[in-house]
Amino acid sequence: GDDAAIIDANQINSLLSSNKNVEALKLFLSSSPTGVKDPTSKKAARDLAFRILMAIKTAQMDGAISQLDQDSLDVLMKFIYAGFESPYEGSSGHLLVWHEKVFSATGIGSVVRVLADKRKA
Amino acid sequence: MAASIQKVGPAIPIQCHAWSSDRQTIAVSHNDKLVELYKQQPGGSWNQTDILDQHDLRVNDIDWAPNTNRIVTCSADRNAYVWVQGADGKWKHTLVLLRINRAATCVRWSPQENKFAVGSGARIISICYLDEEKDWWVAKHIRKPLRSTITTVDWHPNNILLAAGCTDFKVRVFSTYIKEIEPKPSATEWGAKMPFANLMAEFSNSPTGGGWIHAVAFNEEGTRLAWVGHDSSIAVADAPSGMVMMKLKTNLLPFLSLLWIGPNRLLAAGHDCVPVLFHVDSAGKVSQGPKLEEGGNVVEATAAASAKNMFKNKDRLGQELVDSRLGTTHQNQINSMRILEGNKVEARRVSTTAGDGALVIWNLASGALAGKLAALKI
Repeated sequence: GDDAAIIDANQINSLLSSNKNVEALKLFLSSSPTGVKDPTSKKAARDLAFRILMAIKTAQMDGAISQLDQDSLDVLMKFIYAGFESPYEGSSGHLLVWHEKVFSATGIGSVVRVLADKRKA
Repeated sequence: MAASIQKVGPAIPIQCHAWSSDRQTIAVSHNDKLVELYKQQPGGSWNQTDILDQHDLRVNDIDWAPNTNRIVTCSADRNAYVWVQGADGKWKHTLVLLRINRAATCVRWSPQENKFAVGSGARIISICYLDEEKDWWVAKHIRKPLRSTITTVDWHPNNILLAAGCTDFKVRVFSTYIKEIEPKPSATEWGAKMPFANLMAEFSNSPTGGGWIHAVAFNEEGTRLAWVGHDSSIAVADAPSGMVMMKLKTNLLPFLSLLWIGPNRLLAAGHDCVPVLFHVDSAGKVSQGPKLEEGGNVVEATAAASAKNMFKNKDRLGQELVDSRLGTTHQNQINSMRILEGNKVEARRVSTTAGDGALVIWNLASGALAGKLAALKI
């Protein structure tokens, strides 16, 4: 069935402010953030995803990715493409590095799932 | 050789293919309204022996019944024809009124060949059987709860249950019991009550959607159902363990066709242009095995590497060397796969047709491939 999103924005924000960025990413990805339906909440979810992805430095990316399971990686790829679709100022370069690293972990399958899944980021 | 490429007609994409029971003749459709029959000659080449020309629009699927030797074809023209070969060798057709208002997409004879199932864009599966008295094919409809185009069908060995994959991202098992022509079926792992059109089981490919279902396949005993979806996944549902579904999301491009080649082995092929092996363990878990051959783009190192040609390519294509040729035997997506020799418990040779218009025969028992199959034991 449909998993409704249960994003705990407060918890995620507090993790980000105490520099626990990878924890924030894991929590975000496991809260079914693609289950958000209405446009305002969708924008909020994308904004939160953007902040988390920008907070994690290039050197930390490989470590973060190794802690994510297949489903979380698929969700992450969806938000990376969402960031390409509606770019935030100065984000594209960083997102491209994210894309390259997630792609080497998941192959083209996760990109196909960005396009084929009903639920989008 | 493990993979041998055969030429059956021009290099135009082949939509579907089906073998005669003696495997000497193949029926193919090259993305048009014709079905062409090619017979293998002693030298290894293929001669066109017949053209079945009745459909008005593209033929979407062909199936050839091994025992009764009847061919059934279905088309975008919303019709199906049953073809029977006369004593003179000529094929005579009978129109089957499917009573649908959209294209027919897929067709399969039942194991006893007294029925066939046709999927369509009309959100209906037509189950057709021969009315002996009037000597014509009657179609009964399965409608509920299909909400979108049926893309693929496969029969359970008991001749009653039918699996159908759909573009609403779901796989369903229906009963097609027709009391006029067959005895009441006994209970199976899929359920006991089987009135016509009863939904025995329904599987959603993914809670997040999952992509269109491209192929479904029952295993030899009918206890397991495997399918592939457009989200690059392959899944197996195990009826005896309580309809448990195990899904594997792959790193590859989506598959379009699927075969059981052993009690625990699946072969899937699609947009990566090469069949890939999968293993299903006793719990139903699916794991990916090797591809039947390695791919990757091949740079054309012909005389084209002269300076003049390099500049010409740079101007025309944006790169010096042409590397658009795939390293795999097929150059385009594989959309149809059949067991050529053997059966679902032990398949020895498999045939594939693809968008490059080629027919390739894979010898699973050959040295190279047998090694990969053996290595698949996990």
